[in-house]
Amino acid sequence: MLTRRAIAASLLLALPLTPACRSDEGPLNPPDLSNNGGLMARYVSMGNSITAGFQSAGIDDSTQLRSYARVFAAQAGAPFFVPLLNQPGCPAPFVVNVTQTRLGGAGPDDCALRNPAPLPYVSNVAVPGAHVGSVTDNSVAANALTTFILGGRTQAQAMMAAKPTFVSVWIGNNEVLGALTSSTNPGDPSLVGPVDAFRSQYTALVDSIALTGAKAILIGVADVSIIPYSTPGQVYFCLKTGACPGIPAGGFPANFDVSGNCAPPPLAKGDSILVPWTVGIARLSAAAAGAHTTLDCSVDADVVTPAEFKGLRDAVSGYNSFIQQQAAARGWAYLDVNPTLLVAKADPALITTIPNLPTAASGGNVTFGALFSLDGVHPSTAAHRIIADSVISAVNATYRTTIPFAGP
Amino acid sequence: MRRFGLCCGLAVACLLPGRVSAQAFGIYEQSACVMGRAGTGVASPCADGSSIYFNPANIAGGGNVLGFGGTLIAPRGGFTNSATGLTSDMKSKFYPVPDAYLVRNYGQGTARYAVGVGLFAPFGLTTEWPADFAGSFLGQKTVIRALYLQPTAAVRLGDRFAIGGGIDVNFAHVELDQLLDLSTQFAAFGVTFGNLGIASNTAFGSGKLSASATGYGFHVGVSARPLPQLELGARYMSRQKVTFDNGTATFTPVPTGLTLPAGNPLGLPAGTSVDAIVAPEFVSGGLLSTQGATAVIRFPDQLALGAAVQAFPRLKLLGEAQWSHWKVFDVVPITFALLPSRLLFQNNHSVWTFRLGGEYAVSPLATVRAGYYIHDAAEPPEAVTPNLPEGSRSSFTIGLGTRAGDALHMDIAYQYIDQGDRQGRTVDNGGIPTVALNSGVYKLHAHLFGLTLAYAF
Repeated sequence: MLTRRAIAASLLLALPLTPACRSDEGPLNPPDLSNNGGLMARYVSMGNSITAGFQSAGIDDSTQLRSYARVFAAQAGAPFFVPLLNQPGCPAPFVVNVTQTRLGGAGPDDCALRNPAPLPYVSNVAVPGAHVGSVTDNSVAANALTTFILGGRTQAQAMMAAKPTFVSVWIGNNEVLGALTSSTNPGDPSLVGPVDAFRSQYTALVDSIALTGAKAILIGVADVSIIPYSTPGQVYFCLKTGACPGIPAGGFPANFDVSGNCAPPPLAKGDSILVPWTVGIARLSAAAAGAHTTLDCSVDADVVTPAEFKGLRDAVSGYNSFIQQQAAARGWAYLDVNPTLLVAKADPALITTIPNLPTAASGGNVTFGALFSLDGVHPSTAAHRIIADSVISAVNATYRTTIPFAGP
Repeated sequence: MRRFGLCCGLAVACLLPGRVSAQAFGIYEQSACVMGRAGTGVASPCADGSSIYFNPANIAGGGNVLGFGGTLIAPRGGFTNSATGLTSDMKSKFYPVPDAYLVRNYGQGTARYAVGVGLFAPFGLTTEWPADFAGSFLGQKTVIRALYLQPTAAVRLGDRFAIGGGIDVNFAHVELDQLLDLSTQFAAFGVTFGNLGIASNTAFGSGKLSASATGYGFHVGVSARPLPQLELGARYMSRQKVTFDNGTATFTPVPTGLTLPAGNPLGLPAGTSVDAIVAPEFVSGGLLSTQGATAVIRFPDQLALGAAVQAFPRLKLLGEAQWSHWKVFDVVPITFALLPSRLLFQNNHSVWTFRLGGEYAVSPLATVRAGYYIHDAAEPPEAVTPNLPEGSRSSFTIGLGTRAGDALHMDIAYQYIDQGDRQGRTVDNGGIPTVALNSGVYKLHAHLFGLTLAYAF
């Protein structure tokens, strides 16, 4: 009997008192997806070149990682998977914008491949060149980057595939930028996206987000008159003539003239005429080479005329009214970047009143201030951080989150 | 814009199979009676003929019996991606595992003989995942079936010792269904579709490898009763190397729904269907046309040592240590007639399982049973995949045996398997896997329901 009990006791003692081992092999160090109430568990950014991280007329895996969207994601603790484009880019960014020399000596049509590393999903689905209609229809304004970034899907499809909890949308700039940057007719009204069509396409966009149940921030279109790509005709006039109070003449060569039709009111409408930097640098370069050149603000092929200027601003105003209305109707955050840009524009060090064209005409880069890259259209890295903080501010205010600011 | 032509068609970079995988795909539930006491069957038999599996020696000295039944296995689990927080659940299904035994005893006195035959499945696996799970590119459905037919003979010498053994004929079948990821395929020399922007885990086809083969092995056991209240037992079932040389790999297109926009790097017209680009590979002559395939799987040997003590007249306690030589499941070579050959690295560890069980005779007609077992993982950390996301486990069992007259009895059992959460992966690197591929956590548990009917004659 003793033997029998001893054996029984030994069997009982061997009975483990704990259940099976739990998770093993150390941590994976996953992100904390519960932060901000899980709002930022899966963040997707939609948009165009700005959101994609385009700078200096190019994009690569360096500029992509400096996009405001990625900065925002980092501050929000959101995983962010970027469809990285290998160096030197697609196309490579400018190294010297006057000569259009690009990184690695690449040509404007050269495109390095996308990094094929598997991504759980694409967080930044923004595509350079995208219009609002492109978001749901790849037959609209598609280019090589549409494939490299989306692989045959639309932005809306890629966004929905990510099962997002939060989405940012900044699109609509190309509805007016194409007109502004037209090389044949700056401000070409035929290139401005009609507001009615914008409304319809934007509705489809935000409806696709609503289907996912995600929260969102909608960002308004930038006022094209603020960006330093173009300069009011009156600035050229004042600098050439010194006839404007507080603006001394200087900097332009003697054989470079500015027509009186570039003058400020009441002499002319130079305050509502925009001169692209590409036009200015061409004139000044020719002058530097000894030719006599004139900037004539009545030449539609060279400048944005007052009527075209009004058309651009009216379009932007129409877009932004609708975007703001959509955000309000859906309880989403809205951000108007223009007040921030206007404040920055007051400081020429941040956004130049006129690019350093005379200096650049003798070699080197045309620069547009600390907040813009070498194409005069796309924000610089510093500007992206400011934009990210603006987004953070709007998100925190709307969703009562506590996302810390990125700072300079 | 630099363009990429389909210079060499679709070159398949990483096709079937990611892993046949599934280490620790052993099944120990071959009898509801033994299942109710956590698989402790090597020292003390159940009266249903299942000793053909649990210890061939123990069929001698009992009666004539026909036993049959099965276990219904309901694995439940999922994978949570650590980066996205998204969880994909396995398909919730029930998988039946049959068993049947026939034992006939002869002789009386000091030497009694028995012969029998058993049909059971000591190894098996089925895992199924939804098509939208990233791991479906490693294994959407994985099946390994090993149905053993074991003619057995045993002799009992006196009251204290018995020895037995049998020949195992293994009717094995393997099936692996996978999705095929377009992003990993070559669009041009050195350029994958992923390089052109096709998202990872874009299914453009499904592949199915199916093969059957027969393996052979043996199974021996001994038992002893040194004391009237103490039973001891041991068994050894040999490993088997099964060569599946008649396999077939079939492939079916899966529509991507993708169309190429204007300006695409392939230089194709806007609106070109991606599916049309890859379609030629699925027809005769294409790399993804139906083709022969071979595979080799090693089924591990098992050693079990156990003791049972009649602690009280109505209470029997049982303990068992079982060693499975999973280390032999180290690599699975697979060859295709057209596609490149693959080596699927498993690198399993051999594991010990420790089992404790007990049964209590409530009445002459009813016996209740319970048990518990625990074992470590056979899979190394780098080999945890959708095919079998295996880990350390513990299990609780309960059972009931009842009798209708002298000839017929029935056993039922329930078992709950609790597996520790396990980091694992959903992708392959085409070579020796590393833990760096792990991207989330697999959870797994299972409910098992056993039923055995036995008829003594």
